[in-house]
Amino acid sequence: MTQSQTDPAAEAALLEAYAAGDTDAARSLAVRYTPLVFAHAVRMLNDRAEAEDVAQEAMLKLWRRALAWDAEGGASVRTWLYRVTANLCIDRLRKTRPGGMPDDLDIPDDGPGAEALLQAKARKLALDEALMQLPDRQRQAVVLRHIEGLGNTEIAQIMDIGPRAVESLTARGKRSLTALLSGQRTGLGYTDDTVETSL
Amino acid sequence: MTQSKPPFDDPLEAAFAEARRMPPPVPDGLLARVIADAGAERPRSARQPLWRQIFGTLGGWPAMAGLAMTACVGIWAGGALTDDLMLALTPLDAATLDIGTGLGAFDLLLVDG
Repeated sequence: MTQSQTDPAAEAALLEAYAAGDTDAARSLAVRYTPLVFAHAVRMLNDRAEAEDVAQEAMLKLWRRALAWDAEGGASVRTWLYRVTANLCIDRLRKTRPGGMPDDLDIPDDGPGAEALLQAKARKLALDEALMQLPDRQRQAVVLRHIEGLGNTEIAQIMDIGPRAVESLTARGKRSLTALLSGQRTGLGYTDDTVETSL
Repeated sequence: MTQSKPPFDDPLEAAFAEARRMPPPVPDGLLARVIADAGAERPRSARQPLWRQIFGTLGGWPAMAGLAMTACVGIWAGGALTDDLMLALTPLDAATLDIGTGLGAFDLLLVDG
C-alpha cells in the first residue's frame, strides 16, 4: 500500500537538468508528478475542475522553484508537491465552501459486472462525500495515509507536524469516516455485522 | 443479505482500497499544459541565445560600455589629431624638425631615421 520511496538526489538532478534547459527532464517530472498532484487535489477538493487548476498551479510552482531548489537539503519533490497542493486546496476550500455533489467518476470498465461496478462507484462516492465532511487537516492526513499510502514520517513533513500528531489525526479521521459510512451501509452493499466490526 | 462483499472485513478499509484502485484519471490536456508551462517558465539562463551567453561571459554591459568608450576615443583621436593639433601638443623645438614630408604627424618618426 505504501508508495515507493523517492530519491531526492535523482529528483534534484532532474530539476537541475530542467533548469539547464533539458526539456526531457521537464517531461519526466511532469509525467511522474502531475497524476499524483491531480489525484491528491481531487481527493482534497472533490471537484475535478478545481483540482485541475490546482494541479497546474502546483506544477507551475515547481518549475519556478527549479533554480532555487535546495538539493543539499535533501528535500523530496514529492513531499514538497504534496505540501504545496494541500495548501492550495485548503486555500480554495476556505474561499468557496461547501463544494456540493461530486462530478461523475470515471471507473474502468474492465473489472466487476455492472451491479458490482455501480456498488463500487457508490462506495467511492460515499467515501468522497464522507471525506469532505472531515476537517481539512484530518482529511489531508487520512488521504495521505490510507489512499496515497504514504508513511507517517513523510506525512509529518508534508503537514509540518510530528508523527504522533499524524497518528492522532488519522485515527480521529477514521473514526469519523466509519461513523459517516455506517449511515449508508444498506445502499453500499455492506452487511450489518461488517459495519459493526469497524465501529 | 450480503451484496458483493468487499475483500475486507472493515468497510472503510474496503472503501480505501477501492479509492486506491481507482485513482482519478488525469484530464485530457492537463499534462500538455503542465509541460507547456515548464517550457514557458524555463529559467532565463537556459533560454539565452548564443550571443547573449558570449556577452555575459565577456562581462556583460559594464565591460561592453568600457569597450565601446575606448573604441570611440580611438576613432576620435584618429580624426582629430591633425598636424596643427600635434604642433600645439609638441615642444617648440620639435616643431622645427618638420621636414615637410606630407606625412602629417607621422613625419616625426623620420627624425630618428
